[in-house]
Amino acid sequence: MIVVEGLRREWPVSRGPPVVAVDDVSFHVVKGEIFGLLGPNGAGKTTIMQVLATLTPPTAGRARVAGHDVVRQGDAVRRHLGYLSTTSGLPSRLTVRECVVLFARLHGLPATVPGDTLARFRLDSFAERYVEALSTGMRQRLRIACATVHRPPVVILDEPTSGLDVISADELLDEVLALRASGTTAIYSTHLMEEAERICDRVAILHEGRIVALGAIPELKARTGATSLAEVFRRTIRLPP
Amino acid sequence: MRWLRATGLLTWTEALRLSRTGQVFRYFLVPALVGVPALVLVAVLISSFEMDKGRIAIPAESPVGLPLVAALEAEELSVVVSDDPGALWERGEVDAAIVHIEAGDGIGGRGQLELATSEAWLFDLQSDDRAVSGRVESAVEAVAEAEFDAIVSASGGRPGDVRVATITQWDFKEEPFLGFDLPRAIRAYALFTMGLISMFFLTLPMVSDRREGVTETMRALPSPITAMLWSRTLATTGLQLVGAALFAANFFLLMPLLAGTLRFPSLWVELPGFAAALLVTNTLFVAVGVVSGSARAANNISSLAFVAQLGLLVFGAVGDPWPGVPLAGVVAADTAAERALGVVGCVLFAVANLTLCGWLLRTRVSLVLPGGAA
Repeated sequence: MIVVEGLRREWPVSRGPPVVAVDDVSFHVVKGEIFGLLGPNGAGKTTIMQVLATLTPPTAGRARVAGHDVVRQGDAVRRHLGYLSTTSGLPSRLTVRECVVLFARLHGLPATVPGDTLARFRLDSFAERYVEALSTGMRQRLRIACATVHRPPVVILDEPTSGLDVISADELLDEVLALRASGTTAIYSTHLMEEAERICDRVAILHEGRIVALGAIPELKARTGATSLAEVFRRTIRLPP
Repeated sequence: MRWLRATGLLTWTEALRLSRTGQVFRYFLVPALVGVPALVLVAVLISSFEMDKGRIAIPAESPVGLPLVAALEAEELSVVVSDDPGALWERGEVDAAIVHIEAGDGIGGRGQLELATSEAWLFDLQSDDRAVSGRVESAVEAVAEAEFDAIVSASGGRPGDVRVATITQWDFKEEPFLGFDLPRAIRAYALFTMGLISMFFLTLPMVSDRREGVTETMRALPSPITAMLWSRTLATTGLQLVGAALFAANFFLLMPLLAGTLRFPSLWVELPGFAAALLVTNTLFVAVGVVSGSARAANNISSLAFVAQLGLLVFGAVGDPWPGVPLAGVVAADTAAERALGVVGCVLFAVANLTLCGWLLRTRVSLVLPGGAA
């Protein structure tokens, strides 16, 4: 469902050589899998996700989402994709319903779909409330509802639980697991190892723009002799235990 | 087709968002509904204090028995008697000049009551001051009224059915006013004031949407990024046209006396050019929103956009630009062909500008600015 081959992304800087954010990254994600991207800040997780969401082109390498090239078939990729990042926002001064309707209509869906989505994400009782009047947890739930209103085969979730309390985060993880149960493929980045261990089928650990470990979580534990994903993470990027 | 649908949908959404913004009412609709009439009333009050400044020249040989001087002075006009009133007006020494007076057919001329609706006196007036002209008209209608009314009444007629005098010629100067062609100056002024508002409705919300990640979210949708830029531009332009319509409605409803200076037909003719010029102004401020890295930078760069806009407007008002020059061409347009060329120039500029902005958002500038809200 997702294929990334030899991906490289450089960011130009005003003085000096460009900063290499991602270098020679390759992986694939199969249908219905939740693939975790883990790594310290600045490891390149968000850049990979931005390339897959067609928000920025790769400097080198190739990436395909749902069979479509992210550079040459950007529109097709976006039609098959739901994207949510820590910086994603929703238009202010719109109600919850108007937001979901807008996203549905932009995906070419009929006006009946939003009602279904509102119910699926338990937003129907807040439908007439303005976006800015929602709590952080509710707003994040609305973001996911908007990103998946067209039931895309692939979702990209960049630290979706960032800033949420434990209960809201749990609810959101349940939503992600429900997406997987419906056959959706997901790329999921997080700093929380327990969270990744709970929902990810496989993970890639990134360090300084490169993948330093890739595989299923039990496999990585066995390979490193660690008992938890957090320990795998520390050992892989050579942090003290 | 997909682009059109996305643009239409997003334009409606932007209009909805704008309508829920307090700024729309504070800076736009309230001034259009309340501020403009207030300003017009103030202008009327000020002009009423200046009534005694009107000066009119009349011929030295006015008809015997026509108390013209008294009637004009009753309207608080200073009367200058001259052998050549037209020359005084040409030199700007008076605000109006009656250059010729002759007896009409009127009741005095024909001696028959049924012909009394003809004018008793005919005046040729030269003036480019509508306020003074109005007072002259009142004066000449009143002149000799008493005697005339008596004749009509004695003949069994009704004085209210007759006119005793009329002005047969209104001769307004076509020369530029203070170096400006007046219609050009009005167009330029209206467009500049609209441009002042554009920053509130386009630049700052664009910066705010980038800071809050809305632009990034929209960029990840299948709708083209230019659809988003066009939707903002069109929604704001639509709002500005609503404001302009309110302004015009105020003008015509509250100031019928001034309605003669601008006519509805001329407004319809001006509309396409006005809308196209607003489009240019708005795309300029969209571009500011695209290239600005913060609200502060947006304020600073907006100053440059204002200078650019003002430069083009002044060029259009006092210069002789090629009609296809964006903004300036529309301001200077006098003929239908020039207006059409002006509209084409504006639309092409807007398309090029927003296409460039779309490219910048896709490749060069950051979709998300620092300081975003969670």
